[in-house]
Formats: sequence, structure tokens, C-alpha cells
Amino acid sequence: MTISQGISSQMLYTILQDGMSTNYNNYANLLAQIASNSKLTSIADDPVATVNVLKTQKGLDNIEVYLENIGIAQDEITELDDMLDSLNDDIVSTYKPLAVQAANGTYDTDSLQAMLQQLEGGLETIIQIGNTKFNGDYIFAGTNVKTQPFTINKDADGNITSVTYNGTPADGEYERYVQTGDGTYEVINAPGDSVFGYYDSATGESEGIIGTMVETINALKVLVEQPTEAEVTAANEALYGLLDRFDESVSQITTVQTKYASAYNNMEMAKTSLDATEVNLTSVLSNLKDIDITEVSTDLYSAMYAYQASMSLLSQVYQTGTLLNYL
Amino acid sequence: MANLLSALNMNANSLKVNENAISVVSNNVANMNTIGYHKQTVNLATRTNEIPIGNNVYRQIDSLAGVQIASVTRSTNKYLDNAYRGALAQLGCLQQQQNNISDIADLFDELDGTGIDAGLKSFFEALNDLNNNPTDSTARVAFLESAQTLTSLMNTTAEKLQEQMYSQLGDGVSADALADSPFAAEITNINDLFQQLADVNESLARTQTGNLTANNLLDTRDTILDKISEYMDFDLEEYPNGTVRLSLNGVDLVKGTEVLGKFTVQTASEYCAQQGITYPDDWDGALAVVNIESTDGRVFGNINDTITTGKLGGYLTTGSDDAGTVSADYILGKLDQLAVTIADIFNALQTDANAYCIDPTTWTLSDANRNVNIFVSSDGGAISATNIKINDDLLADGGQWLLATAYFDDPAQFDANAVGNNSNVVNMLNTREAAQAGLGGLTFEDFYSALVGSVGTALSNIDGEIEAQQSIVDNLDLQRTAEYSVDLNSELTDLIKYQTAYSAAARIFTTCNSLLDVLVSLGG
Repeated sequence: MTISQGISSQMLYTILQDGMSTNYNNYANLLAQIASNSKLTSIADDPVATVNVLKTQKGLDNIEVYLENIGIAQDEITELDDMLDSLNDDIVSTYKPLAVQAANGTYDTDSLQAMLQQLEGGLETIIQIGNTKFNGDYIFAGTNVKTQPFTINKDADGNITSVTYNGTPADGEYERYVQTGDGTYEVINAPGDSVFGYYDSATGESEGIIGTMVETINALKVLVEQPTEAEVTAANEALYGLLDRFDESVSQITTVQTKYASAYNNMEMAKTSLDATEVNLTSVLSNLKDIDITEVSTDLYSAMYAYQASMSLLSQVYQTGTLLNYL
Repeated sequence: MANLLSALNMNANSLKVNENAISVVSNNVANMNTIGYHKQTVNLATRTNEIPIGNNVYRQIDSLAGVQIASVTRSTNKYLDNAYRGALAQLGCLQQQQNNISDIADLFDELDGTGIDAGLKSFFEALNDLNNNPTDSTARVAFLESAQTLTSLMNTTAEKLQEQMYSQLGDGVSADALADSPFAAEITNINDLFQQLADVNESLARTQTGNLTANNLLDTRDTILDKISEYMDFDLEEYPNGTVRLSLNGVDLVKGTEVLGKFTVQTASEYCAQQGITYPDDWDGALAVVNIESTDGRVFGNINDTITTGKLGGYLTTGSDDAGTVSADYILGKLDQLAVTIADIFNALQTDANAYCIDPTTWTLSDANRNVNIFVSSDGGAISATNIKINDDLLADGGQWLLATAYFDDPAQFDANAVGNNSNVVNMLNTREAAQAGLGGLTFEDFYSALVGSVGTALSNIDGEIEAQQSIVDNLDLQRTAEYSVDLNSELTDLIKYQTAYSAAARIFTTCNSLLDVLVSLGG
């Protein structure tokens, strides 16, 4: 402040007091910044930075949500994958060899009966897997998550007439979506019919592992009942014909697994990029908001010295006083 | 002897003059901390006996009559006073505006993560949970609760804005609200100041009858004028007797010893009714109208446009709904826009012909959602930020199942069992990043943060203006202090000066006295 005119006593005090209060304000402001570790104490401090803080904060919160979603989705896919793996194992190591043995025609009735029971148990297991629930929902039912996807129907003699699929069909809107990024969704479920197939004796529809198993069981039943030569030959031929279908079923299941493995990998990549973005945004937010502690501490000390200096100056002026002290 | 006696006389006068000069110094020192005090200075002048001198040197000496006090002048500078008062009026206006905006800004302090922005964020987070678990009752209830939090945040903010808008000038309709408003109180204050000015004018008219000025009364007068300038700008004319005529746009407010015009306020609706204007549709002014009521019975209606500065100007500009000004009214309009857009978008998705809710008793899809909007207004009128709320049907027991989560792109694919279908929630989630036509092509959150930004910018701009204006006022004030206020050093110097003169005069008195003694004892 330049003063061109004479300085009156009151004016000197005013100037000194103004200076002291400015220094005190600077000091207090820096203290508040350090206490809150934030450059922005009000939206008016820096409106542009405020808007950016809000946007960045939103981005960070979204990333957290997406990462959580990915976690849940990956859990479900892993669960699905594990079960299908064990199913494939069972098909390759148990069900198909049983069918091969039965087709050989060298076993007696008791052995055939045992094989039949084992295969019937296998079908139960497959259907149980098809009816698996995850978080209270059937995971192989498409979007019909509260409807049990597979049911076995038998006639009075205990013969399987059909295994129906009650979920959303593979050619329907079966997808359940999970958000893994802004406007990006991953499908996390597989329709049961594309994995396990179904069977209906009335229409002759027989698909997938379920169709194969039911037909194998039916052929074995014929063998166990000790039929005529011709019937045996027909049943054995039927069993031979079914052997390939075991392999087809396995590859059908593997196709579904591959599809979900790729969804899993997509999410894994999304996770990596979300993690990287999170690091970036955190540093952006920190730049916008956080104080540079070295800089602010230095400023704080210089503000403190300025404040002390102005106080000591004021006291000195009061001590020096006026002409009055010398009269 | 005659000369000795006249010298004594002169001395007596000199003692009196210095005594009086010291009393002026004493008045200065006594008032060194008095607000509005103007330093007074003694002007000494020679005293002359007006006698014909001719060529007589003794007559010439006889004509010297010592010293007299010509006047006591008061430091004053009209230019500085005018500049100071003008700047003060500007500052008063800005400070009042800042008050209003900072009240508004307090409502939008989103940095602590508790405002509408945070509400929108948790609304979409709850929607995401619903997307992950469309058949989960808890996720549905949680979504409705977060939606309710969002609406009540809007309600509270809108109510507070409304309160803020009506807090200064009343609500534009109720006379009681206006009478209780701070604006009405300020009008009373300024009318009081007019009366005080008239009183000082009266004292001045009685006191300052000659050429000498009534300095302390002038101080009082100037202090009152300074105070009035905090409220508004005015025109001023000063008369030789120190009285002033205060007028506004040619209308006399104070002249001589009388208050000629008083300010009165009325609500905007009352004024409009008198003028035949439809309120509030055709009225674009402030919520209150200032009139001048003249003592001669004339009324100068609606002088709002004349009062553009000072505290009163500040009240009138921020209370108005001028486009482009960041006022409570403007922000309320923006919030309404946000509330309406959110309600429209979500209600449309909820009641879409291909969207379905769930019947949890049978775990099948149902179209019971078709007539159940998510967002409704609490008073049956059009939706606004003030009245937006969640439909009671959804909040009732089991109401959460009415939320339409399923959606079929191809209606032929409809399957009543597809309760896990979450495509409608995906549609809702997608509105988050979608440009909304109702919000000028911005997303919900961008629209809101832009609003926060504009409030922050308005406040930071006005803070900057105030800082600049404050430094102008401070500078002028400092100049006035420099010119007007008492400096102890110079007063003490004056004191020594007059004291020395007094002692010298006393010494001369003693000398004259002893000379007279000599003279008297000559005969004895």
C-alpha cells in the first residue's frame, strides 16, 4: 500500500491492524488446509476443480461397483465351469465306458443290471447339476431363475418318458446381464438346454447328454429284460450308435465352457484396465484436492513468521509511541 | 505608559487566543478515536486597530493589536466523500448479493459427499444391485429406499432454496411475511436515518447562522450520510448553513428540517393488483416493491429500478428472477428440470408395454406395473423438485415387486417364468450415461454438477468483485483517515507551539508589569 499523504496516528494503527489481520487470515487458512488435507474447503474455492472432483469421484465409485460386479460374475462363472468340468469327467471316465461295455454284449444280466443302475444314478446327477442354484436362483434356467429347469417324467412302469427343460430356451431372451463398465454388460448365464439337452419320447426329441443318457438307459433296459435275439441285436446297435453322441455331448458342453471362459477373460481384462483407471483417477483426484504438504508447510511457516513479525511491529510502534513519550 | 498598557492588553488577548487554541487541540485529542470525527485546525490571524497612521510611526505601532483566531476549520474533502460513498454503496450491494449466493452455495456443498450428487450416485448403485439380483426382495427395497433418499434430498434442497428466496423480501404475496422480512427492517432503518438527517439539518439551521461552521454537527451529518450510502446511492446538495437536500432521481427525501419522502414497501402482488398487472405471470420484478410516500400526499410507485446499488439494491437484485443471475429462483428452476426429467425417464421405462414386474407368490411375470409410476408428485400437481416422491404403491408391503425389472425386446419371446430377466434394469442403468434431451443434452449427473459449478462460479466471481470493491473502499477510507483523523504527533507539536506562545506572552506580561512598577515608583 502506498501512502502519498501524511500519516495520522489512527491511520498507522489501521494499516498495522489490517496487515496483521491479513497475515493472521493467511496463517489460519493454511492451518485449515493442513487440518482437512484438502485445497478445496468450499465449492467457490475453485468451481472448475469442484466439478472435476465430483466427476472423478463418480468415476472412482463406478469402478468400485464394476469391480464388485465382476467379482460376483466371475464367482458364478467359476461355479458353472467347475460343475461342467466334473460333468465332462463323469461322461468321459464313467458313462461312456459303461455304454461301451454294455454294447460289447459280453456281460450277463446281473452286470447289465448294475450298469443300468449306475447310468440311472448318473442321469440323476446330471439333472441335479442342471438344477443347481446359485444365490437362490437356478443358474441353468436362463431368466426363469425361479423355475426348476429340468424335470424327469416316468410312466407307470418306471420308464422315462421325457426329461423337459423349463428354462428360457437358447433361442429366447435367456441372458442375464452384469454391468462391467460404462454401458458394458457381460452375459453370465448359459441356457440349460444348450448344455444338457432334453428328451421327449412322444416327439422323439433327444438332445445333448440328457438325450444320450436316456436313450442309453432305455437300450440297457431292453438288454436286461432278456429279450429275443433280434431285440438284443437292435439294442446293441442302438448302443453303438450312441457312443459318438457321448463325445458330441462333451464337445457341446466344452463349447459352452469356452464361451464362458472367454467372458471370464474379458472380465479379467476389464478388471486390469479398471484397476489402472482407478490408479489414474485417484491421482487426478489427489491433484485436484489434496494439498502438497511440503509446499503448504513451507507456506505455513512463512505465514507464521509474517504474522509474528506484524505482531512484534505493532507492539514496537505502540512502545515507540508518539511525541507524548518524550515530553 | 499608554503603550505599556496596550501591550498588556494585547498580551491578555494573546493568552486568551493560545488558551483557546489549546482547547481546540484538546478537542482533537479527546476525539482521536471518535468515528466520523474530522480534525479541526485553528487559523490564527493578526489583529489590527484601524486608526489613521499618516506619517506617525507611533500610530503605526498603535495599530498593531496582536493576534486573533480567524476561524476553526474542519478537514473535509467533498470529492473524497462522494467517491467513498459511491464505492460504499457498490460494496453494500455486492455484499448483500454475496450473502444470498453463499446461503445457496451452502446447500450445494457437494465436497463432503452428502448432497444430491451423492444421492444420484447411490441411486444408481442400488439400481446396479437390483440388476444383479432382480428376484431379491432386499435389493428391490434397497433400490426404492435410495430413490426415496434422492427425492427427499431434492425436496429438502428445493424447500431450503424456496426459504432462501422468500427469506429476504417475503414471498411476494403475504403482507405479514414482508413485514417480518429483513428488507422491511432495512427500510425502517433508512427511514430512521432520513429522520436523523432532518434533525441534524434542524440543529445546523439553528447553529450555523453565520460564516463559521458548526464543526461537530457537520461530523454528525457526514456520519449519517455515510450510513445512508451503505443502503443506496443518492443525490446531495449542500446549502451554506450546512444543511443538505437529499434526493433520489429528482424526488426530495430530506430537505431542510423535514423528511419530505419516506420509503414504504408493499408486496409485489399487492402492487400488481393496484396496477392491474397479472401476478405472478406478467410480473418480472422483485418480490417486494419500494415506493416513496411524499408528505404532500403524492406517491412515487415502484422505484425499484432507481435503487440499483447499496444494501437495498442488493436485496432487490438477488430477490428477482432475472435470467442469467444465479439466484435461488434460477436454481430452483434447474432442480425442477432435473426432477421432471428423472421422473419422466424412469416412469416411462417402468410402465413400458414390454416391461414386466414379478408376482412373487407364483414367481411369474406380471403386468401390474403398467399403471404404477415410480415417481409421482406429493400434491397431485405437476412434478417438481419440491413435490417429487416415490409412489406409495411401491412403498407399501410387497410394493417392491411392482418394480418392472424384466423387458422383452421381442414381445413374442415373452415367457411368464422369466423372472430373472433384468433387461429393464439394464435399460434404467443405461440412462445414467445417456444424454437427456430434457437437460439440454447432458446426463443427470453432469447437469447437476454443472449446476453446482455455476453456483460455485457465481460465488467465486462475487467474492472476487467484493475483494476488488473492498480494496477501493479501504483505499478511499484510508485517504479519508489520512485527511480527517487526528495525528497525535502533530497535535502535540501544536500543543507545544501554543504552550510556548502562551509562556512567552506570560513573560511579556511580567516584563510589562515590572516596567509599570518602575514607572509608578519613579514619583516616589
